[in-house]
Amino acid sequence: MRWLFCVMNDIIRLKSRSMTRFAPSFDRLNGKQATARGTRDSFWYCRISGPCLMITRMLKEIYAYRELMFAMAYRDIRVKYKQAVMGVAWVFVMPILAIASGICFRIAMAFFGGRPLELGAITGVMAKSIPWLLFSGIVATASSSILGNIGLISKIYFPRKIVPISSILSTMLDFVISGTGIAIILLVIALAVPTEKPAVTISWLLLLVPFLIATLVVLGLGLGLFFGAANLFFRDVKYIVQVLLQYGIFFSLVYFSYYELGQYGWILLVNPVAPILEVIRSIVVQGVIDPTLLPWLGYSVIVTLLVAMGGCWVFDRAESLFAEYA
Amino acid sequence: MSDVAIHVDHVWKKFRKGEIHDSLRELIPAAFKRLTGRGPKRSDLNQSEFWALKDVSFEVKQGESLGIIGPNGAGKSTMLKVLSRIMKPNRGNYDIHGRLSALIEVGAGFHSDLTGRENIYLNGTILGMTRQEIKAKEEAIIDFAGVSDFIDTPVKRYSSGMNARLGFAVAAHLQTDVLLVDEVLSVGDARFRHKCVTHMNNMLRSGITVIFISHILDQVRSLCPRTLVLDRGEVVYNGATDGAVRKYLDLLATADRLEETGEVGADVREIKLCDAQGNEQLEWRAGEAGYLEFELHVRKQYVAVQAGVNWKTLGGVYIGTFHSSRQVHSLAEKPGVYRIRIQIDPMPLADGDYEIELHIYGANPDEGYVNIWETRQPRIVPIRGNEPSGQIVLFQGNWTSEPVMPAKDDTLRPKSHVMTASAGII
Repeated sequence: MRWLFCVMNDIIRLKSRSMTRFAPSFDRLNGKQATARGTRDSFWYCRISGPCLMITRMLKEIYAYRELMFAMAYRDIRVKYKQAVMGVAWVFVMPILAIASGICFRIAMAFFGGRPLELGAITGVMAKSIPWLLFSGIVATASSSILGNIGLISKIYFPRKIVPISSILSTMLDFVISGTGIAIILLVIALAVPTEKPAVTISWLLLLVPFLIATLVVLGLGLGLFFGAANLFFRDVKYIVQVLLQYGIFFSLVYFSYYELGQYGWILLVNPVAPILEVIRSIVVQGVIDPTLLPWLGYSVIVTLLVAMGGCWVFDRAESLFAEYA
Repeated sequence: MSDVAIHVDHVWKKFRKGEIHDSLRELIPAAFKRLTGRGPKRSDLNQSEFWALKDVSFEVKQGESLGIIGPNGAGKSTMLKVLSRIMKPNRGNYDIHGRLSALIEVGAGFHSDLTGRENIYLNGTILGMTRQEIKAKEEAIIDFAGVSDFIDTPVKRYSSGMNARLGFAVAAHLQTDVLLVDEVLSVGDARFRHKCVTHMNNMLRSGITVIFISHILDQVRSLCPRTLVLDRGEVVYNGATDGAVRKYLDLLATADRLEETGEVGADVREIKLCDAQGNEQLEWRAGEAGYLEFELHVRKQYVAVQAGVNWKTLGGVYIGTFHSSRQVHSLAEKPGVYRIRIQIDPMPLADGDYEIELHIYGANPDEGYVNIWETRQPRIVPIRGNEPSGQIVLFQGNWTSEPVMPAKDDTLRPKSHVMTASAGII
């Protein structure tokens, strides 16, 4: 109990204890008179309360170096759209392609099921594609971000977590733009298009959707930290991730739902992304949370936290070797 | 708080040789062993590793500037990377008090597609300045770099000199307490380098603590009163810069002593600078006689053996040759060991560091003089005076002056009728 109190104290006061045992602190936080300390090689550098201190320390780091983060994100965004033939239109092409292929899928399913194509199926695909594109974009960009910025990493000191976090900012900006577009379309469908079965339902549960998106982001970031660090040591991790994401769209129930796969469809819910997407669909299309999905949602949240902490832990341990393995 | 800005305490750092990646087959059991604490500690050496830094300790006080010099591969850049937290030491620790900035490369983070102005903001943020700071100093930075015409073109179209100047200009306007500089003062043309050194001097006067790595000994001498000499990871000298420079030049010469070329006809051992009594000296005094001694082992019979000493400045400008054929018929009549002594009196060179190369020639009856031995690496001769004169040659001679009497001749005085004529023309 006492350690819980200490941790809460730390979170409230935002300071960390025992600097010698942790990785070097940073001088910006405390102003000009702070100290940086190098550490000896020690094995268990986190104590039991490590994870919470790690999170507060990580948030403090990110806040201290926020200008660098935004500068790098600005650089990525500007470079992406300079001298490009499609430019900003790229933000809309990806979702359109994803949704169009989903619609093809659904048409085929409706044909084989002998039932007419429902609008609810199409809106479901729309509601799931955009978060999936966000997740896959985050994992793909973060995995290759460390190797892509290795020039900076081997020459300047800054907390290395800034690199994957800033690399996802451009993906999140794309998500905001395309998500707003899709939201408007869904709103129009909700208000203007009459259907028998619900296609889009507006309810208070829609307020839960941002938290679900946030869970996806944290999960993607955790995986991105892990793969980003791994990519530095094993250079084919980037391609493995690309392939996994390419086919992951089918294993994450984006184009179909778990009950449409027969008796054993729930197995795909083991993929932590799938329950989150399914819950988003059920909120957007039907306005309720499917009760069988609730335990799976809890499972997803726990897996997200574990993956995020695990990714941070692996990243922290590998961070000191980045400059050598460049 | 004490006034020690940087304190390095028995730092060791090792690197791996060869291929770094283990195969997956070895990695998994090794990872498990390390996770459970049974594997070898990270601070020991296995056979594919080497120590880049061995037990390095030193201290730098606030406002002081320390130079670090050493032969290539001595670990200077590694030391800087450890201090700037890019790499972690395997043993030991260090303390830095104050805001730290490291200049390991000019133009770090420059993206070739962005314009110069955008890169100023990017590079400045990377080096630690806030956006307001950069905005306030933007004009000064563009001025310093001298690229104001091209500031809005993408950096990929800059010449390499412009890139380097822009990068250094951003770095030069850093406000920081502790600065680590790694050989960045050698970019650009001579005028820009002079600007850089002047700027660095101004920064030093404002109380910044600096660690300065350079190969340009003149810069180290003018910027740092105290210098560290590193050789193969160890600190071999920590003290006044003059002594450090001598030690460094010594290290360079020692490394090459075993690499002389030449056929077996003759061999030279122990080239050393001496004083009049033959005691070995580390340097010569400007304006006094200089003595050079070496041992010549002649193995074959030559008609005549001669030697020549070529003098060059450190920059490679050839000064002249002192040849033995001017004075002696032959240095060695028959095979044996000879002690050769060269007296240069008076020494016409001013203070500075010069390179000498020694060539031994042997004359055969059919071929004439043949080069039978030469130094592969030039030796460095430091010549020191009471104060730096900045010259290469000391002229010795004399000046006289005597007054000259004016001539009694009228032709030298202006004629009055000429003036009257010009005053009133009829």
